[in-house]
Amino acid sequence: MSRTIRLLLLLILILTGCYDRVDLNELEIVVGIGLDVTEDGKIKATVQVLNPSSLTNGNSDSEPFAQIESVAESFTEAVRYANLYSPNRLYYPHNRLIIFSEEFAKTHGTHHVIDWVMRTEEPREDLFILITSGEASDVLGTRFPTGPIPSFEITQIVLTSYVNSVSTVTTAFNYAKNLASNIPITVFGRIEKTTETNGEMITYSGGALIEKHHFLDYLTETETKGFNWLTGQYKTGLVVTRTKNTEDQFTFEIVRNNSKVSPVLKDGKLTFEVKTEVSGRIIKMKSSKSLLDPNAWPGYLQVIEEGIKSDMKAAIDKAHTTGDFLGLGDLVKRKFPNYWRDNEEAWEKIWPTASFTFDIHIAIHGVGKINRFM
Amino acid sequence: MRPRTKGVSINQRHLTSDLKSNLEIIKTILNESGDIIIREFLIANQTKAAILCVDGLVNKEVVQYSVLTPLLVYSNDGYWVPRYRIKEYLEKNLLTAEDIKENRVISSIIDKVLAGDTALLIDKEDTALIISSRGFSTRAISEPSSEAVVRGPRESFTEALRINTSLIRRKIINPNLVFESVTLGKVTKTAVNIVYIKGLAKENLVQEVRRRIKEIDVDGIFDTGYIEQLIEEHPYSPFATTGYTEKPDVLAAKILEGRVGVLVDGSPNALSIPLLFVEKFQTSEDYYSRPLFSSFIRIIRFISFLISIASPAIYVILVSFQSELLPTQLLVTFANAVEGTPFPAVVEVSIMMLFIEILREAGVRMPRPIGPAVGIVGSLVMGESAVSSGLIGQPLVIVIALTAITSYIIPTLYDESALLRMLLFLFSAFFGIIGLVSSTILVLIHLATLQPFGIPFMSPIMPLEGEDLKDTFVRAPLWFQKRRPKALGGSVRMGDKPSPPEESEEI
Amino acid sequence: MAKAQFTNGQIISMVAVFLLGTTILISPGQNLGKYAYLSILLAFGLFLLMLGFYYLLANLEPKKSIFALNEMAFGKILGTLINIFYLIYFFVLTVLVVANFVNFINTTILIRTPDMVTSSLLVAVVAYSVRAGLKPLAELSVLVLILTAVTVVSVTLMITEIFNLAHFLPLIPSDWNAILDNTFTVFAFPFGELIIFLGFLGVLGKPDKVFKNVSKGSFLALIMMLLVVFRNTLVLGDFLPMTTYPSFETARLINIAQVITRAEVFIALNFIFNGFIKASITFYSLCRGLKETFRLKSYKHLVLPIGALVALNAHLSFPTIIQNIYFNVEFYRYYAIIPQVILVLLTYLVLLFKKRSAAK
Repeated sequence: MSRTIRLLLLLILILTGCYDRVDLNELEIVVGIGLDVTEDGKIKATVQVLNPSSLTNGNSDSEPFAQIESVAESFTEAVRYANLYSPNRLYYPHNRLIIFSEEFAKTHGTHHVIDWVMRTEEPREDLFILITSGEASDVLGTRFPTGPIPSFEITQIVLTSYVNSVSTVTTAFNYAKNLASNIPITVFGRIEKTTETNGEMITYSGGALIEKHHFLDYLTETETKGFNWLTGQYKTGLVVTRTKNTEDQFTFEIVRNNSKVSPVLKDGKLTFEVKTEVSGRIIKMKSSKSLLDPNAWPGYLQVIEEGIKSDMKAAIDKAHTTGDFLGLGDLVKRKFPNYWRDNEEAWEKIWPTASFTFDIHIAIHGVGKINRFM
Repeated sequence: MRPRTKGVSINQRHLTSDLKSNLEIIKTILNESGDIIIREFLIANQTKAAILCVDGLVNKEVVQYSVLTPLLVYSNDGYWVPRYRIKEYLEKNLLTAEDIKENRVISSIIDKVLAGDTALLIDKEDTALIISSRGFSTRAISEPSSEAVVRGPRESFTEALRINTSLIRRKIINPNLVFESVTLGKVTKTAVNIVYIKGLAKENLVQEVRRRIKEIDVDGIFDTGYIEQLIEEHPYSPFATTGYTEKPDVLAAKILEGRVGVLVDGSPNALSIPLLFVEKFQTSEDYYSRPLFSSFIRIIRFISFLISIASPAIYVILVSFQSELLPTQLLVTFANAVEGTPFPAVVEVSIMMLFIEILREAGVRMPRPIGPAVGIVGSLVMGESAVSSGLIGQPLVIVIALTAITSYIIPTLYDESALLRMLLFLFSAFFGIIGLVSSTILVLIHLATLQPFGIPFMSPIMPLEGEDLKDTFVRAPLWFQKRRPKALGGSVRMGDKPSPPEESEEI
Repeated sequence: MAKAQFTNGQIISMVAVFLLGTTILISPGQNLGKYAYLSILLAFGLFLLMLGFYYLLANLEPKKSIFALNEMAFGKILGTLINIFYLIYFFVLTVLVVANFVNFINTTILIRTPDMVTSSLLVAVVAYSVRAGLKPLAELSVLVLILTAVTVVSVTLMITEIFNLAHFLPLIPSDWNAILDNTFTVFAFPFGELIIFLGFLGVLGKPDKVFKNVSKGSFLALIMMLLVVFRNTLVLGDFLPMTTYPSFETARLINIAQVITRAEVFIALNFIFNGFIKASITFYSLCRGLKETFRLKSYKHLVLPIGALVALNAHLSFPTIIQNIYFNVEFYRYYAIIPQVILVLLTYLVLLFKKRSAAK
């Protein structure tokens, strides 16, 4: 009887064949997607695919990558129809980013894309989502002197952006989670391409506000910094002080940061406590006083604190005008569920009246190898 | 057809007291074979006698100096012996051979003669004297050829059963070491010995082995391989459930753990019963070298086994099914390598797996001087040109080479891993990673069902025996392994390690 | 051949792997999100209560399966009818497990392979192992439990980077009704499914020993289940109820320095092993039940035809995971309560009564 089972297994093997087998040379590896809107309101999807032979053999005759463009009524059609222009099947698991043009985010909305990313098995949930004010296909096709594949270089830029914390890194999963938690506004990373005389340049700084599914506004670098401070995403970066008197100027590098906003409800009045603990080191200074003078230190701390506070205030001010992109509503919802239930409707009106208190604790962990101004 | 006389089989017939008719009968039975020597002579100038032996099987010196010289020279000294006492006189006073037995049954006398003894037939006596004179030439004890070692004993079994038993006996000087003799093979009458230590080997294991060996009904046995196939209970399993070795120290160690050994005359390989799966990963040197390095090597062996059975399957999965599992850079390299190759990966891998087996077979069967040439032509020339001509991609060559190298690390597992590799590859080729997992489950379930001689084959992994894991994936220091494997009885093996002198004070 | 002996470890692992079988992938009480652990704990409490009754029942007549007990309690005709009801339940359970498994594979790994092929493959493997008997399965389940523990712990360790404790806030749920409602579901699946072990309890050994190990095994499963649920909540937060396979989704988010990524394959592999053991145990119990109820000599020739039925049913009834979830919530939990609780209690009471009157 065990032979029967073996026979059955063999039959299954022979009769079924390999439905899911797709060989590597039948695949076109997608590494980036750009989404634009054409003049007649259709969607233009730009898909960046690799040309492996040019990449590994150092064969400079052929392009290391190709951009396939397809235009259709809807997003999924556009991405699918890209296959019409490619000899092989497009393969998305290695896709690292999706760039939306501002126009696309305004007119078509980003939610279709996220639904596709989170639902289907091929695209990865941790791909980066970015917004550009220009043409997404243009940004995606930027040539970098540092490497052959633009998508890889852009990914690298996004990954190293934590160094300055003037930009945000948002993955598809973050966005999806925000949508699931009913957080009204999500901040996307902003990428811009500028063409200068000496070539093309990419800047990745600031952010873009997406209200649910549609584009709302941009954030400046300072506002983004403030956003990073208030949401605890500030990793490392500079606090450059430009105080009125030109005597004391110095640059403080944040090395470690732990910041948190917690809502406080007192007698029905809502306030937000911002608690920040940073440590860092001085990397440049211009001061009349020597560091050896202990009386000078409180002044320095004061100056740094002001710098951080001004970033935060910039973000809060912006939020007052555009809407709560700092996730304050979510904080209140989690901490005071009853209060939230009562005031959810009027939240947009309530929260701008709430005041902020700042508790910033700074530890200077290094002053460098010299102890006074040159 | 057996000749029959008066209803009694000729083989059961006894000698008569007439020398002439006895010799006639024996000559008829032996078909007047050319290598039979029959020498007739007179003892003490009065009694007719004859010796019967086989040329080439007897030690001629023994026959000359211990049999013929006393009989022909010293028996004529004039010392008178009454006729009825002549046999006793010969046996007790004259013959200097070490072992003399009396025998009356013709068939048994012939069996002894054919095994190399000398028979002395005396006129007027219905009993022959069987003088032990075995002395055929055998291969000298040499270094093991397939189980090479750096450290440890370097002798190996030869084709002669008695030499082999003596090798074991010399290692285990204990009255409980038992060699049970069985003669197998209706035509060949091969001597087979079952070896075990009484009290150490599980009684039902010994009984089971004895029963199965005694029930063997076959015309001839030329190697332990015959016995292995005839007594194993899972003949269709790809896994061998009895082990073989050509090193007496290995067999001695296995017997000491409670296993049963089988030696066959004419075979330089001894069987050890039962074989557990983990034993295939153990070598004698593991125990002779220090534990840390032995453990490291053993882990390497397990890893290589996994690589050797799974790497073609995993390659196919990565290239044809689950390409997302490769890092992007590696995927690009792979994609470039397979670009322009004419066949899908499944076909490529099948061809290469077949190729590597052909290459191995050619290398093994070739006479020694040609072997390496086959390897060079096969591996270098064909591998390199297959890639450069665009038939296959380089990554596949690496994978196949890795498969081949790792499969040679454990020679005793080569058969199994070749078959397993094929199975895993086939399933993976059709169902991707699901196929790999389901075939693994099939193999694991199959392994769990194997119970050679009532002992779980996968012990101590399935069922899990924490105690025995000390000698599975690692080889713990000897004094950690205080007990023998649980599946084989688990009796106490050793005490504590002798401790070094205690330091007088801490410094 | 010596009679198969089941060690404590083997029984513990069989129970733990059985309970973790599908829950390793589909968090029980998933639609509660962060409060799933509450319903798991409550359901476990109920389950312990039930386990006590199972123990009392098994202790009445050690070495007898639920099928034999039913016949003892209700007589031949009614007992057979009840047994058939049980057999149908076991069959449905097997189909559910197989369907779960096939749905997962067909949404994540083998997209274009027809689900009939995948389920045939799985059922063939399960059939092979069921024919080999319970002993190899028990031995394998020890290894699978170790594999599961390693996978669960290592995936948890790898994802700690993006844990967010705020996902658990607010700590106190506002809607207890939903939690109680889910407790019911969680009790029916997976805890109550342990009734399947009553189909072959006598094989495992004495009730005392078996139930000690069963409770140990279910505690182990509970701990791992909670670990999985906590991990998924910490990572996914409010997104958790939206996903069909939270653990898989969690593992997809593992990204350590862009090097250690794509760890979801380990979750998938682990699930296949677990699902295989679970399906095999239910299938084994089903086959044994058929053998006992219809007084057959051996169940071995039943394996293939019943297996084909299971595969076919999985294909027809549960083409996607949604049918599976829907069936679970809308129908299964009401249906399963009959064999899991009501009939067991009834059998126990009748048997007790019979014993008492016989003693008098």
